[in-house]
Amino acid sequence: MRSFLPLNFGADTVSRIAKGKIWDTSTGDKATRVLEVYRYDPESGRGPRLDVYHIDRKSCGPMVLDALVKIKNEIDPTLTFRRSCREGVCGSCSMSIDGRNWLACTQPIDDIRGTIRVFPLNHFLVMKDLVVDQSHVIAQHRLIQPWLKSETPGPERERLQSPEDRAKLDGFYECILCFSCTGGCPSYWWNGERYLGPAVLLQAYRWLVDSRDEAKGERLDTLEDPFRLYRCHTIMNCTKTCPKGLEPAKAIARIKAMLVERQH
Amino acid sequence: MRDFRTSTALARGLGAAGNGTRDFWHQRVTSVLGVLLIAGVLIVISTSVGADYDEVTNLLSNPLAVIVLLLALLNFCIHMRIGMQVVIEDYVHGPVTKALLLIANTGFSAVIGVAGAAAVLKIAFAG
Ligand code: SF4
Ligand code: FES
Repeated sequence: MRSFLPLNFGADTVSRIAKGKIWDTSTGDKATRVLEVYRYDPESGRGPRLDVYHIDRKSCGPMVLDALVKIKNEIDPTLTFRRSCREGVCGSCSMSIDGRNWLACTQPIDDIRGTIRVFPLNHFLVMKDLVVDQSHVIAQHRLIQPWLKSETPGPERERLQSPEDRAKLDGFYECILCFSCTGGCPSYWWNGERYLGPAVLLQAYRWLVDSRDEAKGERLDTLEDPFRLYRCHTIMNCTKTCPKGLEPAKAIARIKAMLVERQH
Repeated sequence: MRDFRTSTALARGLGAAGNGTRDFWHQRVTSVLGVLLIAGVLIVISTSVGADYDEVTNLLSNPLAVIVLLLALLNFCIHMRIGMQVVIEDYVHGPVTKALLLIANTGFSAVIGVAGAAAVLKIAFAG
């Protein structure tokens, strides 16, 4: 899925990616894999660069995250990235790998042919190397109030829900907020200040469809806006790039259907 | 200028406009109706293939043909206006340019619609 455009096509001068350091640790072994990793240090006063690393696949775990950890431990301790669970449940290690936003910890090295190119998550501002600033999208998530809202006093024990109603949450509650989808959405690139993006809208739908929630109307009011919701043009990159196999595009279509339903 | 607004303030912005659904729905309605109307327009055009001037003006003064053509014009001008508006909102971010383009878009759609309707009516009534 490599882009046919040259690396710096249309990039601002400050964002142009220069050739970086080649950490020549290659042993000439056939099991050597080459990684090109985006590096940026805001304190250096210089623009970003692409460093090249060689790792021995035989002494490295199977995933791209293992390769990054190996680089950090054995070659270059300054390489900065986020990770926590290393098994696809925390959502911290999302980045652009071989041209697609995905979790580094669930992307097998052997599924990528040739040089493995690792960049920060698309679109977000880079803080350092592979770490991006997610404060805006987190604030957008807070905006949709991602918690159960109910005025009826809670029962003694749990709030009941039929198995059928519980099943309606399947495919939506599993989101780990990695923001691969949001970073991969062209509509979010152009209008991310106002458009909520696929991850947040999927979360919004998760609460809209919850039979225990009493605030549907209020929730729909928050979303009914040409920019917050209707910037989704069904481009479907979100669905393609979700490492959990979820379908934000479907959730968004259902929100639109709810809004049409309450008009007629 | 450094921006000291909090991320909550930025995410909330000016709040929800409370619309967008109507345009979304109208765009779907005009798409579906458009398929039917295009079929009608194609029938009108195909019946006039090979006909001479008088036969064509005669056909185009048939009330059914006039209705199909006028409805198609109305339908597609509405569809075009909403579609263009979405493109402008997507890509044009300067408030003044955006306002001017939105006005121009409405004007353009209205002119195309009215001019088309005038042409159809002229042929229908004046030949
Ligand atoms: S929908 Fe998928 S890609 Fe988007 S934030 Fe949730 S888990 Fe990540
Ligand atoms: S480290 Fe938790 S999702 Fe990759």
